[in-house]
Amino acid sequence: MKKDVIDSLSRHKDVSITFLEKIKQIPKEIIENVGSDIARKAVSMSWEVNGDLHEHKAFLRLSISPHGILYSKLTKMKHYNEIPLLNFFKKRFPTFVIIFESTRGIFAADQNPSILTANFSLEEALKEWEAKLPIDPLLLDLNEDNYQDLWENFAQSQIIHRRKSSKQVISLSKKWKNTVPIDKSSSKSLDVFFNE
Amino acid sequence: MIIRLQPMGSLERKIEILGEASKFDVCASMASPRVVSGSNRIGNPDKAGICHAFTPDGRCISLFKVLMTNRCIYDCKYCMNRCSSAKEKAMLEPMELARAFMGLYIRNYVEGLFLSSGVWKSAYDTVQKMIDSLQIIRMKYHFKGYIHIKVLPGTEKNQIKQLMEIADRVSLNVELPNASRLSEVCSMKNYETDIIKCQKHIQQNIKEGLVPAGQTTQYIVGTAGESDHEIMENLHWEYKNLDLKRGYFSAFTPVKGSSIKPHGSFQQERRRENFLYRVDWLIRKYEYQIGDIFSIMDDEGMIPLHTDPKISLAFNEDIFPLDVNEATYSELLRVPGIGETSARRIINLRKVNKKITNYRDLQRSGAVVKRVKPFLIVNGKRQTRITEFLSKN
Repeated sequence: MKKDVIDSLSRHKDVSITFLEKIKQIPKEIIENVGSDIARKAVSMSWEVNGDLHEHKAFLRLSISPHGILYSKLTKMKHYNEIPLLNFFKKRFPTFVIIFESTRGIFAADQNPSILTANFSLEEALKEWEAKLPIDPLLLDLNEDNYQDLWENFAQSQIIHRRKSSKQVISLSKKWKNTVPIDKSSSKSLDVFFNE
Repeated sequence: MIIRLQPMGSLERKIEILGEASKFDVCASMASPRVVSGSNRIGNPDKAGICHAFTPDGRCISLFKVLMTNRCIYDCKYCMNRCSSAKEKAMLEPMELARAFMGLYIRNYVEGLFLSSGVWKSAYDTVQKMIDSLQIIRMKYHFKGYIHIKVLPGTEKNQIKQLMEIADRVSLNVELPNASRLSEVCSMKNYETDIIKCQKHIQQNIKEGLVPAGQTTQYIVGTAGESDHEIMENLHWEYKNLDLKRGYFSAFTPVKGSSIKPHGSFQQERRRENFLYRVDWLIRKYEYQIGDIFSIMDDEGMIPLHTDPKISLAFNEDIFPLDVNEATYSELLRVPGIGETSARRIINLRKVNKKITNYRDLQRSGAVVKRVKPFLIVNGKRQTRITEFLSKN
């Protein structure tokens, strides 16, 4: 949809107002069916934004506070995707407070689906909310085990060594720049990637 | 026969054993049309599905895919979990499974749960354990995200219904395309009563509105000398008579201690697996009939592995070359190098008087120009003859 392309474009880090205005003038059939070079440019820039958002939906790992808070630092975000990402996780975890720290500040969605920004650190924001919310015993229970190790063991167990194909890994690495293939030598890369 | 029955070790070890035991089960799709509402819940299914990691061969890890147990009363020769296998055995308790899964889901490591199992004691006992686990996940943790359950061969009708009330998608692996092929590698399973009958119960429940994402199945490729013709014929029957959503294929990986030896090399079986996916896609998405697919198979009922099936099919058609600005959607779909998206774009642009006048226009639509050239007339010209194309490919 043209509306979605423009919405994504407006979150692109390098988009100019002139370019956006130009795109708005183009008929929707041309944009949606990539009928000109400028439409192609717009669609490919919107893919960059959507790809960045999709990578975060897939590869961002969340930390849990037993007070019902999910939080993470968005150190790898290339475009202005904080709010769509917040909406995605809020829809998935409606009872939780979600807090993200990006280079642009703190983005949070509390019990009511509102988005807040403020100029303090993730740790400070976490402390503020924890003081307001009671501990949930069910989450306390889920906080005990080392899920990072559990995940690493599980991911390793899924490898079928006979199927390993260097050709496919290379093409995937190009497509998903943030994806590091899992093997014994680089098994932690995926999570270390976001925590570094 | 040596079976190492170890006491339940740590959860991590169990997940390692039971994750590995499930690695040959294919679960590529995790999209569900189910819409969730309400705020007292954890999770939701995603319409498109999300991959959370990739294995070195490019397979997506999106679901927490484990077995309830890898203990099994069956002795299927192709299976790494068969009762005579010396593999370390383990079993998850319902609460252990629920905690492990929920902890991973909330941290965004996985997109949902894929639960299967070896048949421990009996199908009834094993499925009951699976139901107990799933009820904890759905009731105690209020999980409303995606769950795919493998129905075990021989599961009772009422248990199938119980599983389907919990799941988004269910599947039962037929493994081999007919009763005689199955009996060659697994003498204990009855093809009709243990598999087809259960699939029919699943179909009945789907008709009553359960499991929004439908039922699927899986074939092992290269275990019992089965041909591609047999596989595609059976799959087509399942689509038509059991409302199957889709079939998956898995090239047979030899398991330690098994008497089965693969018919071709592993790389050859993998290519075969890939080609079966291609022809299945042509039937489901590109309006090809099963007869079209049979027409490109060789005398032994195998799909030739040297040419892409869509190109082989195109050689059999007398509609080419087509004028890109006059061809219908269905005709464009038959052109190698044009997919659903590019065909739709070409047709939509035509509606606003925007014709394809050069290969750059075609490329923008998403078509693969190199493959398209011999089959299309663009601006009154065809750039490559089919014979030239053949000699280069």
